[in-house]
Amino acid sequence: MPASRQIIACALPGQDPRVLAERALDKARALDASCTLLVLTRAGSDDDAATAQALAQARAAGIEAQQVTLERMTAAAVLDTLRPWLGRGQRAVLMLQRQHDGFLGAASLSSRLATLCADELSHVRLHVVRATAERRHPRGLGTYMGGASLKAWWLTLLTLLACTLAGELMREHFEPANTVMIYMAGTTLVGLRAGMGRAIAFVLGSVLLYDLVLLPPYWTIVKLRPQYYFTFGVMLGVGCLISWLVSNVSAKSDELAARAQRAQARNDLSYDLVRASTPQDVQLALRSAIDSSLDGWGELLLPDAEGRLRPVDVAGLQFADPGTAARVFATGDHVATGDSPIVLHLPMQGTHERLGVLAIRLKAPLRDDSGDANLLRAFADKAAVVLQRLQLEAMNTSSALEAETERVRNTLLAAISHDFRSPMTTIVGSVSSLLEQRDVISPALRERLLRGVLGEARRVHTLMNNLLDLTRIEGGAVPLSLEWCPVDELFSAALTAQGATLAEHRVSMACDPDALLWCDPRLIEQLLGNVLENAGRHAPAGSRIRLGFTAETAAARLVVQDDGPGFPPGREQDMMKKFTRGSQQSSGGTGLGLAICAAVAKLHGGRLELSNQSGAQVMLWLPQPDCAPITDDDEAP
Amino acid sequence: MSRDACTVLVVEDDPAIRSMLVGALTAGGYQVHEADCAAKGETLAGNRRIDVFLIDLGLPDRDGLELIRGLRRWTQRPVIVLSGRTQESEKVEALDSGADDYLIKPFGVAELHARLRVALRHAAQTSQAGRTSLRLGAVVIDLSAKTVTRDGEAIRLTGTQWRLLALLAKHANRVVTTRQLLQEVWGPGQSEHAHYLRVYIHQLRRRLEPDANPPTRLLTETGVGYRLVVDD
Repeated sequence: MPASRQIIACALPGQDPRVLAERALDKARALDASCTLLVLTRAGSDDDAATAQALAQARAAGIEAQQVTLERMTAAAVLDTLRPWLGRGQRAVLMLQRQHDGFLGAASLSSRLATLCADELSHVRLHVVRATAERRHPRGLGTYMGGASLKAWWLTLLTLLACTLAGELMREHFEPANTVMIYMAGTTLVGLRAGMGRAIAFVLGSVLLYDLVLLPPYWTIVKLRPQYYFTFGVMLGVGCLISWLVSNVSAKSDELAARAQRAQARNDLSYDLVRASTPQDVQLALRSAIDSSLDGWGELLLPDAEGRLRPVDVAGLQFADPGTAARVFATGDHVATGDSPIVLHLPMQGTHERLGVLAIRLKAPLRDDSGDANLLRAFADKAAVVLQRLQLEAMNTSSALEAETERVRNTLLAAISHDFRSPMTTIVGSVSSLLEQRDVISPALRERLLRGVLGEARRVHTLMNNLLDLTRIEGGAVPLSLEWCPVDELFSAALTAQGATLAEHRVSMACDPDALLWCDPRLIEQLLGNVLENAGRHAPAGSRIRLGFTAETAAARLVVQDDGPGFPPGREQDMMKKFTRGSQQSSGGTGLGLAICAAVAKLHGGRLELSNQSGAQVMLWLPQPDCAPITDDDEAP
Repeated sequence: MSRDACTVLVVEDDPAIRSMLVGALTAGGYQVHEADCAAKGETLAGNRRIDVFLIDLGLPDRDGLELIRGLRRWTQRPVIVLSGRTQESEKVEALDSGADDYLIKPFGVAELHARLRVALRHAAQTSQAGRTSLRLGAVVIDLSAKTVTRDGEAIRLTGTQWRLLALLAKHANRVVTTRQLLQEVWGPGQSEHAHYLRVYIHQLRRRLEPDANPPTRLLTETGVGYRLVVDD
């Protein structure tokens, strides 16, 4: 997964940007993403301290932070402002903090913005953060009662006073019984906005004030007539009913929002997992999903070759318990430990076996009714499918690799047994003949047989060396030892080594006597030797072999050219493969010479090119350092 | 020192190679002691008079290098190392830890005898306090006068070239490793010259044997070092 993901956190007017900044920073760390904080303010509004502090904090934490002032705070205007930022990253995440919907269900700016963004910018992923106060509080009596918010009490008190004042004004013109209706309206408002507890308090307060202020004789407590008890009883009922309804509706809408967020997280996870190509990607996708849906953190443990669970993170485990994880991996049952933070260990079930363990840490405990547990299990299952796919892919790759290795090994064995058998046949035949028929063998034949044995033994030795060299060079067992080498020395060393093969050829060298080559002389001499040996073997006696050297900028070119029959047309590049011979008849070659040359060239960072000019031409291209070698030695004798 | 009196200790674990060596050396007129492991070799070295050691690097009980270092603590008798293709670095290390020469397996009998001759001759010279004048065909090197002449005419050398030549001449006919050359010509910690060593040798070679291609006197032993071949 590319790290180009970008988080844009947008704090809306009236929200404390510090809450959002903190959450955005967490998320950026979880997703390994870059992060920008935008604080929207209405034009003309005063700078408030919280905004300045949030911006400073964000900048101190290393995230980009900006204050944006808007004339009109509509969803379309905000989205237009955000567009340049959201267009920047391929995978942008817009983070908003949720606002309550307005009075009588009017959609808040945050929800309008979210809807608009989902419609217009489909590449942007939305992440709506809950307000801190309402974050995953278990729903109980406290919520119905409206909690302990001071603001709600003020609302209750003010409504009570306003109702009493209105009643006081109406007192002259209406029956006292009718003024009670004012309180009824007040109860409705308090029940709607401040919860059941305040509604009850309001009713009790209104009984007291009604008796004191609105019922003659004024400013004395008189015993109320039974009809008032009835009225206040109804008021109490209405207040409770309304607050219960409101709380129910808000619970439903919370539930819906949570469900939408879970669905979103599930979709995002699927989307991320499709692109996952390593267990690290899977872990990152899981983290993102867990963070955005349940405000938690995840860790993945996968078994190694010996079946021991290892964290996917190189840094090691953060909170998962290896013992618990091992137990979960063995039994397949999930285990939950602790309580805020709660740590869960979930098994990841593949088709045949368990693939690993997902450990999750959540800040708040799981609620039985909310489907959170199901969601987490769904995460684990989705990730398990992908892990299984990755495992199968890895198996496919390795089996293809094994097949290739097997093929090379078989070719190698076949070639070795063939190439060793013929010289061995000569050696065994000659020596046994020398031992068993010594009386009938003439001194001349004896000499010839012995020379044959020596020659064939040397051939076996060469073949063995070639195999060994190729294996070592290709296997990286040969360290390059680079130095400045006089080119004519390299040429003459290779020519000397191939003296016997080239005795019948006319060899010419074209190179500046002072020319230097930056190379490993041992390997380059071997390369030249192999090429010259080929030339000597394939070009007929008397033909010319030319050695050339040209220096270019930051590179050098060595050319060996003969005027023999050349490479088989169209198969020039094949000749660099192992055990490929130009013609089956040509004996003596191992089919490894040019393969070694190619390996040597590659080790130097250069390349070998085979072509047919007037005969075979082998060109070695080697990169050279920029600095010129120091060769002068001006010291006096 | 007559050849009949020369004793060779062969330390080699492979019975076929050992028997081949013993055969070839006996036929060459040497007296031969043989050992199949480092421990036995050390014992024999301690209680026999040995003129030259032939030591295989891959021994079953101990590293051949260790055996050489052990020997070098008490004897300056020449040591020739037998090494396989895969033991290149050990070979150089053996030379640096005191071995005089090396033979790469497989080797011919002529090569074996040539190396033994050089080693024995050099040992004899060391015991005679060394020669100061060396001859390379028409070229004469006088180590005490610090002069090099061809047909009586002086060859001018730079300081570095002379130091290189003097060191190679001191170990005439034997290989001098790259590390030895760098240490003794430029001093310790001068490893950057390693990249130019071939160039210096090339310049020196052009002064000593300008027409010889391939060189016959100042030889490059690729991957090991250099050897100056002088006349007897």
